[in-house]
Amino acid sequence: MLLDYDVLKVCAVSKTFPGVKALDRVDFTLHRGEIHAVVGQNGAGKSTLMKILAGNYRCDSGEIYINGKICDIANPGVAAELGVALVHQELSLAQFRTVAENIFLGREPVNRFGMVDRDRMNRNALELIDRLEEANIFPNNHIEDLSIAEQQIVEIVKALSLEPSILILDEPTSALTLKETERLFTILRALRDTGLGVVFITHRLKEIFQLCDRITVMRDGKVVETLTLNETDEHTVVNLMTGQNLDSYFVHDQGTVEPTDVILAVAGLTLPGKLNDVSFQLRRGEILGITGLLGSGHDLIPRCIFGIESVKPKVRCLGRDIRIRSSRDALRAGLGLVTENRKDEGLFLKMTVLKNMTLLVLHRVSRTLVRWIRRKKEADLATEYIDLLNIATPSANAPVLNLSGGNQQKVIIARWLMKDPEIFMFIEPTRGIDVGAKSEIYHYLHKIARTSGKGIIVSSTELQEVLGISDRILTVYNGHIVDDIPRSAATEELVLTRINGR
Amino acid sequence: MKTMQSHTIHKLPRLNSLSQRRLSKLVLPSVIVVLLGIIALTTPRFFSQDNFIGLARQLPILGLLAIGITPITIAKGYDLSIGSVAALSIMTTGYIIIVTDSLPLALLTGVLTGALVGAFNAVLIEGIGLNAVIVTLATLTAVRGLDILLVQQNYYTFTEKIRHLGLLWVGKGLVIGIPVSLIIFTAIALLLSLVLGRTIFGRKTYAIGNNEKAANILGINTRWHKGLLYVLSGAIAGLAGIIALGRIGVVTSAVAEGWEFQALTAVIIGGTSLTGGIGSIKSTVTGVFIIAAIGNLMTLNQVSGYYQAALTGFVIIIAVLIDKYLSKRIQD
Repeated sequence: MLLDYDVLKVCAVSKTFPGVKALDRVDFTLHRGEIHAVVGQNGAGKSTLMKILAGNYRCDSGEIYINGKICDIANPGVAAELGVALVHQELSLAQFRTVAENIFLGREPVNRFGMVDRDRMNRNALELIDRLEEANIFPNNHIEDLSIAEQQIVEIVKALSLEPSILILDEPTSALTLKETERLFTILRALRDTGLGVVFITHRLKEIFQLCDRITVMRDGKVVETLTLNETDEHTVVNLMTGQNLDSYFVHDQGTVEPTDVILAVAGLTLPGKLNDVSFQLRRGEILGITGLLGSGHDLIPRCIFGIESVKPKVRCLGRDIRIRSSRDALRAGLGLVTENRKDEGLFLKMTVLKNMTLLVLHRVSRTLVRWIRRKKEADLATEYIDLLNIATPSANAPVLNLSGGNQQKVIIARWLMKDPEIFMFIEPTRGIDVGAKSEIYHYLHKIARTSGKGIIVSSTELQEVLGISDRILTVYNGHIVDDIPRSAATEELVLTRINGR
Repeated sequence: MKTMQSHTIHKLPRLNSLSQRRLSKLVLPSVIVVLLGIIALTTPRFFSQDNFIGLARQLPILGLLAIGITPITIAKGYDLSIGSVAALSIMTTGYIIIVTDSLPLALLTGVLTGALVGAFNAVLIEGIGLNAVIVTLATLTAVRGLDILLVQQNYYTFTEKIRHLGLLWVGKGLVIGIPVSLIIFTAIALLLSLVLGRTIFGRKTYAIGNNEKAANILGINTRWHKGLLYVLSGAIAGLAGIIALGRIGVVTSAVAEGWEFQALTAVIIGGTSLTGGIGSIKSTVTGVFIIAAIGNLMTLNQVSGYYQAALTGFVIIIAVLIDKYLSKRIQD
């Protein structure tokens, strides 16, 4: 029997892709006027389920009821008619168009001459924006002039313009600052109170407890459990997600870093308009966290030091003064950088896992004169690191494209471990990675610093992460380093205050 | 190790699509080969020895041009200038042969001519950062203009003198029954194939084609590397020009026109993607065989030149469509 408050009911839905059962008899209900979190590691089936609801895929078996009626969501158009709106993680707005043009893209109101009726379009857009009580966005703003958070809101307005009864948000906060996230949550709560059913997908458990009413945990294509949030806690959810007891998420040794050996000293680093007179030191065996709000410039510090921004900084590295003109200088100086955007700046997607891993050390597996690669030697090296980092891949020769985000990140870390730089720099090392892989990566960072005595810089916007792994935290505000907080003094409140410039 | 956690084991990737990819890469050439096979069977003269020798002499020129642009295409660059470059090399080689009567010097000149134009492209594209398609199209037009100018200035009226024995040998000669030009082509194809497939230089080429930004961050000097690939493609176009001169023996201003598109068609049909990062010399050679066979079959079946041109155009469009479809499948 269907209760009248179930805006969506999914019964025993299955979906198989060649070689894998993506969804296995999944049951899911969404009440009217609730925010329902869906969590799970990468590959757990969350996005497959959402894509079925949005009409991107069709399920193999099972039934879907929307507002009590059985539905066949054959394509995205049908989904829209049925009142399902999906806001993707990647923003899909046309950058050089206005807010109103984006909201009504493809269904612009027309006047009697068949031309776009701009006035009416802008009026309608303004009405929709006003519903969210959003005062800073105007229909004739160009998208490129808006912040990421504002663009996110435009996406939601666009989704709402279809008058949906179900709104699905796929990781809406991954690019937002804390303040912006708060703003978004206020909007979502208001929408919930109008009776909308909201599905909220995120990797950030903390947000779920702030915002959501119920949570559904998925694992291996199955629904593990649906819980009411005030009856559970973060620890339980993590254990449900991973299917095991993960009690040491971070490495909690109050490590003793002897503040002796400075291996990297940066003085007066300036990137016009972005960074101003940044100076700091990194010691051997130390994990240095650099954090700030999005756009504060904290992520630019490692990039500048690695020579991939438009400055050529002079640094003191391993006791030598070096000018870094390009990444080649940085590599020679013993620096390594894992960039934030895996697909854009890290991976070679059409190449195999093996070839992605060995790029930095090819000279080590080749004959010197003609630089002829010895394939056996190369494969052995790759296999060694696949085992060492526990990378889940069918073989070293599988395309890196097929791996999950966490395993792709491990491939990149393996690449740098092979290179073995003295100073490792990471920007957002665990973005978009599931809890299990996150924990593993934290353990590696810790191990690299402690046992091999390297220096590590982690630039991250994830407060939890920075607090959890750093020996020392540099807080960046508006291109300036505003504080240098040792682990013993670091609390969430203090760091938050500093990165907000207070 | 304490940090090992077994939970990642159960999430093996969705499917090993490499084998699927290999399969889909082979689909296009296979379909064409089967179609051509059927046409060939209905064309009796196709399987004659004369025809094969003709094919074997014709193939190396297109073949060299195609394998020459394969590395730069893999690195996601574009070189459309090679037709005019080959023509220019025909002019300079011919001029040096007339003036000095020295084959080695003429060969060197032809290759250097191509390399120089390649270097010119490289400076504009990788040095200054101009768009590769536009620069090489401009070079194609500009060098063609130069070619016409040189012919009109009557530098090459001594056509009979270009029938230099050594040059004829390069273009038409046989060694134990195998055309010299085919031997040269095979040697260069093998060499390039090894460089691309087995050396660090080759690996870097693929890396750049996959993700130039990431390659740069890993310390690969992408601009220098791609610059070298433009020089290489120019130099090999120069070599193709020399062989063409030996085969044709006369210089006209319209020589080698449209060769760049035939070569590009061969590259794409073979399976090298215009989106970069995928391809090989082996696949280009397959593409060259297909293009040469299409041309040969059309000639044998007395298809008029106009239809041949139209058909080649359609083949390019179909090849690019399939390229797009396949790379989209890989993205998914």
